[in-house]
Amino acid sequence: MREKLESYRAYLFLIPGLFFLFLFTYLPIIWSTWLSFNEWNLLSPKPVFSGLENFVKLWQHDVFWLVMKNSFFFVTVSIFPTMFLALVFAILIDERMKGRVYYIYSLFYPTLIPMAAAAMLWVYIYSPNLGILNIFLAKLGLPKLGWLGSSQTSLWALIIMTFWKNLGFFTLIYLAGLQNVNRELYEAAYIDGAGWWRRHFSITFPLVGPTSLFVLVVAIILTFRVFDQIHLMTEGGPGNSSNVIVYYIFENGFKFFDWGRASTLTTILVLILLSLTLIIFGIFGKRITYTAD
Amino acid sequence: MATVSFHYVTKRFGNFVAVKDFDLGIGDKEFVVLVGPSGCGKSTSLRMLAGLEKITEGTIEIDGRVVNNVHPKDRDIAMVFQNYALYPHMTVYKNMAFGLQLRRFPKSEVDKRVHDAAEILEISELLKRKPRELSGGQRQRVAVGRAIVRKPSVFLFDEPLSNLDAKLRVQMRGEILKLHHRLQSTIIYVTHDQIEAMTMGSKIVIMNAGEIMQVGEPIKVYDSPDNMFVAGFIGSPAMNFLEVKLISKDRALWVDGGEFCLPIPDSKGQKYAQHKGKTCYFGIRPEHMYDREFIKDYDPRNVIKARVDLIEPVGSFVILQIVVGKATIVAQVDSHTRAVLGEEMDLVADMEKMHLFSTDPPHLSLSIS
Repeated sequence: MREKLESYRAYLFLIPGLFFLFLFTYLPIIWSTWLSFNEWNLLSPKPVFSGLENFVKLWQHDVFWLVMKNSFFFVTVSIFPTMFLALVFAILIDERMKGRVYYIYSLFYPTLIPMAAAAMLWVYIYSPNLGILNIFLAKLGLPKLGWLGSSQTSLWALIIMTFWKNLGFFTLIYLAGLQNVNRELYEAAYIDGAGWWRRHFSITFPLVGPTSLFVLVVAIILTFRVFDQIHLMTEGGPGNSSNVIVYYIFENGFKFFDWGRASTLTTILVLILLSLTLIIFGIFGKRITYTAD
Repeated sequence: MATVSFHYVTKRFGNFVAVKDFDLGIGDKEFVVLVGPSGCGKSTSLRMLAGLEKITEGTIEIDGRVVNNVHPKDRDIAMVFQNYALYPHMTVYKNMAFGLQLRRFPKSEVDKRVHDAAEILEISELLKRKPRELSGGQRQRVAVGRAIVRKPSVFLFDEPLSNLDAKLRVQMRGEILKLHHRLQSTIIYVTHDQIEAMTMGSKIVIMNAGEIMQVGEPIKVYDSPDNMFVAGFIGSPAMNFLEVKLISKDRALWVDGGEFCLPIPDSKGQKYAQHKGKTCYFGIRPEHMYDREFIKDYDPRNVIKARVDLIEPVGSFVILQIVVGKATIVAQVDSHTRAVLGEEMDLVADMEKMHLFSTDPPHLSLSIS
């Protein structure tokens, strides 16, 4: 009886938190899912139930598929190099390599500055005539590139900038993860005859599994949600070549005022993130080593 | 197997001297225990031998070869760590095979060695398990197994039993000794536990503040400690020390502690004669003080009157804390003692087993100074 009362009391304390979670997270998801089955735009100022019409229209729309391709490309191309280099830098910082302080400042500075400032900096770097990147290419005798202005390079330019911005954040998470790896394991492997790569390949990589799982899921979510740099640097252009799903939602909602379609895209994004997270946990969740002993 | 020599090895971390002029020779097949309190430099010395710490000064030789700049893997050593250092994501088999695979041993040889070692250590049925599925004792066996598959010249043990409970520690102590007997290998073993040192080592090295205090066979170190540190560190409960003056009376030498005055036996008198008139520390082990009621033949001059301050029955004996003047000392007496808390009792000191130490640091034994 007393235990039951205790558990009721626990739920009582959770109510304020759950209330705000419901109000600001679950309710908008439910609301936008409902709207995705409605026609709601300038021609139809009140939501009118239209079944799967929004989904069918998107399916038939070329831009939607280009946006999806861009989003998946952005995620796939940026995540794995980011994770790998973040882990390598975390290992080097953890091993107190020479010039460690310099690397720490260089890595964490991009994480600390606001995205708007970072975007302006990179607009300058990518500037066709004044940008240091093209000046550098010219010095190497290579042709100048349009970077943000070319449909060939705009998405790559944004991927590089996002990689630069996120690397420090993930390095920090890996640095924390490395503290859970028992130092004696490296010494044992060192005596066993394992070199630097072998030590990390056989010990660090498997043992930071929980951190990698966390980084992978967070990186997928963050990368699918890229918006600021796209809005500030390319507006999805030229010709939708750098348009990704969240920016496409923004365009539909606030440029084309098609709130029904924006909601449909939001539902699709939620479903993609949810499925990817479930698949990743399904594959890796049980295989990784959670404890040091 | 191999010999190991430390030649005036020093290790500094910045301005801090962790090990100073460590000079020690270890013979083939010897079981040497480095023992001392925390921070005395015993583990650092072992780690320098393993190649995990760089040597600041001096040289270390394994089988006559200077190894100061030799990679750990080429020193032909294997180490058992305090926290076992088992790779948590690998099975017991893989843990044991890892070092051999790195050395590119043929698969059949790896398999044979792992199974042989597992059989010796009685862990054959655990080979497919992961370390988290093992008990502390089983993990310890795997850690030892990982070392023996390599068949190294020198085994290094860094406080390997300190994470085990008391009963298991005693059992593993015996097993490591049996293993030494079986493998006939050179073993260097670090511990802070003096009982482990006494029971396991064929030679023990007592260290304090980075320096070697004494080297010798356990019983010789116990019987004839070179200085007050060793006398106090080896033996449990620790030796009692009382400040006394050496006086001459009735043609004999006596220790005069104010509240007590005890004659030094003739067999020892000659050694101490030159210190007559000096103040020094009188050392006597608790097990060399007896409850007068339980011994028949004793010299009545060896009796100390003292007040009982604490009675700790251990079972096979009783530990008494007794007050002599201003000092509190410990005596280990017969388990049937009738000592009463707060009351005076008579204790008989076995003066054949007494020690005298200088009052000047490093408090050397007066029998050698």
